[in-house]
Amino acid sequence: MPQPEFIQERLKSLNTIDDLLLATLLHASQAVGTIEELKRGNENMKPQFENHARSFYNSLEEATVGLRREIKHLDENVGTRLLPINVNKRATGQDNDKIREQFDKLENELKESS
Amino acid sequence: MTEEGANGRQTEDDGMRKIPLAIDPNLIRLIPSFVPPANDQDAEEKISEEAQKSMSSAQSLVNNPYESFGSMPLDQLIPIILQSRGIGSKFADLSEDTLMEEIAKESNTQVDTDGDVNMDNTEFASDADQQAIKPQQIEDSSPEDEESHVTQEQFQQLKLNTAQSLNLALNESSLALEFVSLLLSSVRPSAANASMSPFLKKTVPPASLNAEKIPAEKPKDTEILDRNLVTKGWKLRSLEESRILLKETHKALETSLETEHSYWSKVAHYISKKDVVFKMKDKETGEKSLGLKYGYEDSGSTYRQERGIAILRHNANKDNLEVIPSEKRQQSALGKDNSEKFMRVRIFNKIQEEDDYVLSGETSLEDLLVPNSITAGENDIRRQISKLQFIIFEKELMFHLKKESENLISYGVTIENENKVTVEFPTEKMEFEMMKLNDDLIMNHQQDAPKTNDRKASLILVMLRLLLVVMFKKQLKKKLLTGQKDFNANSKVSRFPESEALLLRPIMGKFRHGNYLNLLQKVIETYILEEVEGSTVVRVALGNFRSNEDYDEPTYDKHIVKLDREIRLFDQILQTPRTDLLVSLPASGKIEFSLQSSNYCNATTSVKYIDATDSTVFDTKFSNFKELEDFLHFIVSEYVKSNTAQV
Repeated sequence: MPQPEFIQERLKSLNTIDDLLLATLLHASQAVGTIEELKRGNENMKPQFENHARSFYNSLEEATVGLRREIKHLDENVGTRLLPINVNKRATGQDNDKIREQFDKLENELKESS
Repeated sequence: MTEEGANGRQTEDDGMRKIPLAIDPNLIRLIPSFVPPANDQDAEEKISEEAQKSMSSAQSLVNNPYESFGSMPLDQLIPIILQSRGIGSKFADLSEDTLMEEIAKESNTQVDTDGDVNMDNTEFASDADQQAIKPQQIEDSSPEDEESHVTQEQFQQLKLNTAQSLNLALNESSLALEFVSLLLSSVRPSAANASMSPFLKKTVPPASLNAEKIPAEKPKDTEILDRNLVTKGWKLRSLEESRILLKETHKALETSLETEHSYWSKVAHYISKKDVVFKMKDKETGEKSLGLKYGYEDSGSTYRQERGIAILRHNANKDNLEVIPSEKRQQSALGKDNSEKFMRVRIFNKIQEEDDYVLSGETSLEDLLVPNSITAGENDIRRQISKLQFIIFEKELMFHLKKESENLISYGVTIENENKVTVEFPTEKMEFEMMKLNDDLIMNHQQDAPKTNDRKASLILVMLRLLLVVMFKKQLKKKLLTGQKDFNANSKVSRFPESEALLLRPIMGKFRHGNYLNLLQKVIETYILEEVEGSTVVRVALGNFRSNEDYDEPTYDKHIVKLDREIRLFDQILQTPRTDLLVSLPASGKIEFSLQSSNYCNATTSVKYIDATDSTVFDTKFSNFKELEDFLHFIVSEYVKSNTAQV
């Protein structure tokens, strides 16, 4: 019994945001690496550094935009999908599950005998 | 110095007759520094006089006779002034106007006699000189016509200013002195000690201040190069390290994100809307996690020894979700590690003539409890949850069973230990035991050969479980009813007294009732049927009586109606057993027997003898079969037999 489509979608997009934020770290480390090369006097690294810095900012931007979008989703869904208050969900109906289960057993036992 | 000398000479030329007090440079400069401004002048006069004399003699640059005048006390100065003005003049006659006139005259004569030297010029020169150094003394050295405008208040003001400046200077200089002393104390302690103030000695340890002069060497070119290299090296190194740090963090986060993503996708796929999931802190790992409520608390359970809450944890090794009860850790800390228990019902038959029992039936192990490695994904989670639910349900069952058994000792129910309850009947014995789930049991569960009473045992167990659910339902109904009356009561569980456990008694009652009925029938047979010819015994069908009072109560809550309907399903089981027998006696009426039980386990027999004329002769109750036997014997011999004899 999976969760509804919308929830799965949200989870997926949150996952991509996670990935993007993770990517910023990678880009940052690459940028630092290229700047190190530059400091060593390797002038050829300049375009590379530029690329890394750009992708760092890009991923950061995408992540923030994505987060904003998720927050917007959250705001929009309060009152429709989400309750604006905290409710303690109760595990009701388990008694009926149990009774059904035991009835099944009873039926099996009686069937076997007949 | 030349100025002073010029001044001195000039005034000297004029002789003793006239004393231009204001022009004396020593007088001007030295007086303020030797008269402590804060002190009262009268009191300090004598001291300052002496000090002045010695100092002026030592420091005066010129031997100036006038300088001593300024330092003289008034009682000495006034006679000198008078003397210089000639005999006959009085101090009282002196006024500013006359003095000014005299000065004017004097200057005129000076210009006349000595054209080169102009008094005004010299005055002006010295004036300008002093103006630069000490502005306050302008008044003193300015011509007397200006001085005349200085009022008393202004003078006081000036004096105050001077005093303040002096105080400041004094402080600064003593501070400087202290500093020097302290600095010196490391090299020459005795000399420094002498000049240090007591306060400084007390607060600052000597030789604590030091100064050294270090020559600044100009670095050589190679050194500069060296240093630059080193700085560059450090920079490169720190860049390298930060790069590595970022990369490692990235790697670590990548793995943790991976598990996180799979956790959430599993939660999203396997956890349904029906599951009660809430935010919870995992006490074991300290992480924020998701809790899952699997207990029956909200479905009417009153069992409070376990909360029925589990944590959804991701097992990174197996890459699956695990449902771990929150109590598990506490229990393993207490040494009760294996808390997975289930109830097993065993039936033993008594061997005739021997005081021993033989096992004739037992419930089989639930399939649920057998580990199954094939199930995966959603089924696995479902299975885990059902297993937890099953175990907590079984524990609650035992809990209530023990509670109920406490009062049933007189009916052959004994609590052998905390996990075992036995019920003894004349021909058999039942054991309700909580079994720990261990490998041996799982291994052996299918090997046992089926026994005759296996089915009976499992039926009993199923019935016990059903009855526990009925208890839940009753509790739910009670909560709803009290909740309607009092909203606050909902949260307080303690306000509901635990409903009476009805698990063992209905089942036991059935067996016992059967036994009693056999006994009764035997009694009837021996005392009536065999005695009275032609008498028959008939079992009277019980009318569909519903004596339970609360069903008549009108309820409008559909939940309560539903619960009522569900509870009513079990009425037949829950009702106290009752069997009615009718013995008809030919030509002498009938005897109605009604075997009932007030608490499921005991038995009372009501006997009603109705004679042929339809009048009730006896209507009594017996709880003892011996008495019943005697009574029947009495009736048969006294009424029935005599009746038949009469007939």
